[in-house]
Amino acid sequence: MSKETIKHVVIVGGGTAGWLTAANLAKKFNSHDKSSIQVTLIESPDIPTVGVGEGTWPTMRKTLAKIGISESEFLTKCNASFKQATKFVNWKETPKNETSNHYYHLFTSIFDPADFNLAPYWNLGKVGQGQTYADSVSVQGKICELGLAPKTILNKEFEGVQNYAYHLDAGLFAKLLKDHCVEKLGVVHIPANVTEVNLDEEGYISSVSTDVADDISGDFFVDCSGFRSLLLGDALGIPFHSISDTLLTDHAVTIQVPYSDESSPIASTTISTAQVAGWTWDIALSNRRGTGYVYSSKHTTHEAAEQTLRDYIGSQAEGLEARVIKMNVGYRDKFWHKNCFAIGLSAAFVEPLEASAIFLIEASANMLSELMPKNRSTMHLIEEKVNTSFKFRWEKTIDFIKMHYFLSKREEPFWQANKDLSTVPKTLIDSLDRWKDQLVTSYDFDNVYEPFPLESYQYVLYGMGFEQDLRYSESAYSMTDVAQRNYSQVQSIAQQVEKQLPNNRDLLNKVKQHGFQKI
Amino acid sequence: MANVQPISSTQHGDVKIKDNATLAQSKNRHFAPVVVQEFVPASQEFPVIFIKDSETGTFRSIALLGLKPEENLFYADDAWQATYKPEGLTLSPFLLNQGEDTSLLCIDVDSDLINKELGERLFDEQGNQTEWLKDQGEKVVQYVEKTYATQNFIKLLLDNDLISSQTLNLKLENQEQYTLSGLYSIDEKKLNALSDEAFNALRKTGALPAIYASLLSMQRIHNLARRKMAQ
Amino acid sequence: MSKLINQVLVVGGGTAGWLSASILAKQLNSQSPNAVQVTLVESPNIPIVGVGEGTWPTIRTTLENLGIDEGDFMRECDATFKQGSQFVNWVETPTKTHSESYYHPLSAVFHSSYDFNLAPYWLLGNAGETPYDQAVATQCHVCDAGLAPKKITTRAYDAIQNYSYHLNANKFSGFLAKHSTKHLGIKHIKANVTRVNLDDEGYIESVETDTSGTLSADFFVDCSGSRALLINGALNIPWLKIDDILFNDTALAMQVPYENEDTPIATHTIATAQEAGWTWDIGLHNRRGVGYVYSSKHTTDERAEEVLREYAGPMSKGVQARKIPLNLGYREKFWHRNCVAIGMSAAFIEPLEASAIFLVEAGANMMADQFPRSRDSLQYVEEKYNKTFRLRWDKSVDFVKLHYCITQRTDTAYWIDNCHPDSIPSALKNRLAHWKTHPPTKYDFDYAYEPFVLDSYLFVLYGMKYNADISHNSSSFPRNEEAKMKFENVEHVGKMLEKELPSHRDLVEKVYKYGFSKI
Repeated sequence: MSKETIKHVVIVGGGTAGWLTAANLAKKFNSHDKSSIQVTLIESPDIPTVGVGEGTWPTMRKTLAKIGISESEFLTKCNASFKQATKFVNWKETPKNETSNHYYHLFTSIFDPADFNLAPYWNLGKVGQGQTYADSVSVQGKICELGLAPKTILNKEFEGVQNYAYHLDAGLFAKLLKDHCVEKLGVVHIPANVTEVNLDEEGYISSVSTDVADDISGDFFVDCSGFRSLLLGDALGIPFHSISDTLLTDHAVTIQVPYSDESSPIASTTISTAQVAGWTWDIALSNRRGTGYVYSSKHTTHEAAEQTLRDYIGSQAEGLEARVIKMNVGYRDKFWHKNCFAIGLSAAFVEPLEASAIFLIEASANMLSELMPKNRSTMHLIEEKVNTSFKFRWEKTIDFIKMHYFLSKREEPFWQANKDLSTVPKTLIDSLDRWKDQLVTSYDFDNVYEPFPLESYQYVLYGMGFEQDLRYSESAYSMTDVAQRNYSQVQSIAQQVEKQLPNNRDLLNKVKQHGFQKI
Repeated sequence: MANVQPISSTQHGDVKIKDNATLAQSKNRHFAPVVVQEFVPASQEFPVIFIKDSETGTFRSIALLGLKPEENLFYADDAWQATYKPEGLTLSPFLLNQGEDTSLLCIDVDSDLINKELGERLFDEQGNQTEWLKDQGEKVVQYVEKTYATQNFIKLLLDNDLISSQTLNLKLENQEQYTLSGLYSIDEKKLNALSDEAFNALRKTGALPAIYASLLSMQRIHNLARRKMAQ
Repeated sequence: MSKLINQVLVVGGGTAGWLSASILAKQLNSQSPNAVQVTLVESPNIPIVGVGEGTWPTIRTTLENLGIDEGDFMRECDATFKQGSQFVNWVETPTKTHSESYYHPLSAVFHSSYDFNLAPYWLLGNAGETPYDQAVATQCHVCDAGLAPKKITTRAYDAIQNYSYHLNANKFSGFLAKHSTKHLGIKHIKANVTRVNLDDEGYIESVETDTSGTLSADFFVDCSGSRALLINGALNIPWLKIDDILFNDTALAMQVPYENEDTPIATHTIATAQEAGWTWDIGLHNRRGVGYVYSSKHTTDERAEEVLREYAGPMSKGVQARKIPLNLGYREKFWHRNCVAIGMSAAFIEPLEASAIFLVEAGANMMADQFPRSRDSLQYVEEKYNKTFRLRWDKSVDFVKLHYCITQRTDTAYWIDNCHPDSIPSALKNRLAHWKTHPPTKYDFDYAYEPFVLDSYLFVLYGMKYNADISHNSSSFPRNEEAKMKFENVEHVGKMLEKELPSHRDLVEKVYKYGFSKI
């Protein structure tokens, strides 16, 4: 058994997780050549996909290019738009007297902090006095405020003037991926419900039974069945580890909002607005906005939550339907067990504050396609490697998300509860303790699987008003002239971008008409 | 920017169009559009290459006339100096404005060629189109057909992945250096790497002469360099 | 804030002491009176060991940051260029007619395999009979032809082929001492440390010296070599031996003159496997440093000297050989309270991949970057530093062991013993098992500060002719045409460089005369 070469991978579940994984694997293995590893995806025709995770990370550009989908086709068919940042509104403190506060977590800094970190000079007031950190190191905040796009029609596909990702309609995305997989990549699609998971004597999955087709056997199984986790959770009994004692939100209510007219501006940033018992997301697609309120049912009622969302949307919300989703926040004790790897919600879920879900699906699929074992004999080594890597990634993601809450000075009970040290991971407490008088450095990021790089931490720390006292090491930051030069360069680029970049909606319209060139 | 108006006898009854032998409107332009049917003659004097349209990002074929923006090395002493005249330039000030069902012949009213004294009349005393105007109209319509053929040709090149981005680095004898970017040209390596099947298919479309004309025309960059030196 | 750290005392000179002091003083800007001050105390008489005469390309960045002129450095330290290591006779027992070798070139650090990993394509036969190193790295051709890695017109510290140096370690510490005391604000005291004083919390308070009284400081760096006066002598941190993995425990070293002024200088370290160890051969400007690293359990000192002299050739006649005991291993922790050990006081493994000076640079860099400003901050940095360096040393041991444990030599008990599974660290064993059916990928390297990256492993693995069968997955590697073109390109560039680059000795002579321009 253990020497038999793996020839057939079966994916249970569609949606973004299932189809992105199928595309990645089939492309890597060259599945349309029948002598290579084959990929089959079994998808229930009835179960609707969850539809969260509509923001992505810049890695999506590489992913689309790798699996062979053109950017123009993707933007048009998935009602997608460009995402350049997340704008955090009212997270720092409760707004008083009609004033609100905000900061940006951007994708692009002009200078890579690994080469030259402007942060200490900004902190010590040597550059950018009176300016936010983000505006001192990047022009992307300004671009977002002006509603401009990160590229022009003259840039080739996937190439940007600023680093960017996408907002997309997850349902349409899954459909685009499915068509691409089936038509071009040699993936076999079986619409059916899985009724039983069959194990062999060693406890490995040998096949699944369905309601319409014969048993489907396979050598390796990927569980993309969502929260139900039919394979890893149910059949293999891997328990779910809840983190509801760390991240306190447990429900989301969502409303799709149409634009008031064809020329309404399309925001090129996810807007995350802090509320009484959670936060609302506002994601602009090309045809509508997706909005939602992520909240803690212990700190507000479902009715009040829906009202909060409607208040956020304003009068446009009238007559629009709201949908409530319960969120199981946490992750499986392990993600890979024997010959089964869970990807997507079956593996883990955290609130979409930093749009990490789709990114972690991409990362899982990448790792699986590169490391697919030849046969069972070395599988356990890869299992260990993958489990360690993903446990690390999820823990770091949770730390990073918690950091947004912990640093807030908002006063409502939900926010106060978030500052209770018993809800804060020790790794985060230790890091923040250190950073109160030391700079964040690349030594804090010594694992290549860090989901969030150094600069992301700086954007959030300084945006949230974290107090960092560097006075005692001031003499170590002596390259003031270089800092001033770099800072001036950022400011001068900021002047120019206004003239160079089109607004989002205009560019998206042009793309629909002409597309981006491949070169 | 062109100020375009459809031609009508009421508005333009007494308009005359000056002779445009000098192609003066090209004085400050560093490129001129060329259609695929012109590649062979144009390639004798100019590099025939591709650029992206600044509004739509789609590719256009052009004859390169200068080494930097707003420089036309083929315009001197108030006259067009090259032997070949890109057809698009000769049709000035006429344009075709294409709507849903009908196309209208228009003129660019800002053109210097438009006046009331010299040149060919558009309409006769009775307000009927002159033979000359009908002639020009025919030429414009045919030219527009040629631009469609050109777009098809460019699409053929893109589908066969034959175009690559080019940065031309030129060093003149007087040590001046010019770097021209944003240009695209036919990639000889890729052309040679085509499978027999793909190459034959290309041959049957009749595209090969234009492809080779464009390839060989890359040498004409030296023409530009010489003209620059002679300035 | 608790007690501030304002004074640092580095105990011990040599490469470790002076590199640590210089890097720290530069980072903290000790020239400025408000900054942390650095003092170095070294014995006027204890001779410096002098091993570790090869360096890594990081040394160029280090020297440039310290403001050192490349030409001056090379001239005053008898330095020459190093482009990699050549391993001779490690795979197969040499006979009178047969000898083999492979290169591990320094261009390996460029991670080119992250963009396009040529290894699987080489395994699948796309490079014909060409050995791996010659197929993927032009640097091997350059080394074979004895050419320099740059020209006299190349800017200081810039490279045409990636390089580091071979240098005279004694002269190097003297050179650093002169430069750093003059330009970096380091105070230099020549005295012997007689006693180390601890305070009631177990922190080092001061050291007593024979001629300069008591020297107090807030933070101490132990660069006193194997004597480890502070970390072991005072703080009792034990030493962990690794003699069950790496068997060599003695070195025999000599300085061999060249035949004449024009004798070519090798531009790479030559490491030749012998019956009970290996000989190093490092070409400095005026002499060759030659030595035999061996296991006294597998041979006698007399036999070892015979082997060394036979290797060194006729020019070694009459030259004295010096015996140095090697105690391979590392401290249980490198940083304890307010003391960090750098250099041989911290760890020592045999110089097979010249890692010693590199790890001194790395230790000094991390210490300088994370330098704690107060006693409160010490704990966090101590934990992080220890964890990081433990990993780095473990991985270095693994990498060195790799050269041994996949040999096909069985001519002596030394080689047979080196392949025994009990002597192979389990992490390495697991990887080797996986690599039988899968070429190494970036997923095998999840640590951002890996001392040896993917490319380095590929050179050694395939240089050692490690048997791997990836034919089951050949369809995952469809870019054969591209791979072939890359292989052709390597050959083509190699030929070009042969015409462009000067001979190694020629360039060294020129540099000593003219130096390199800074622009």
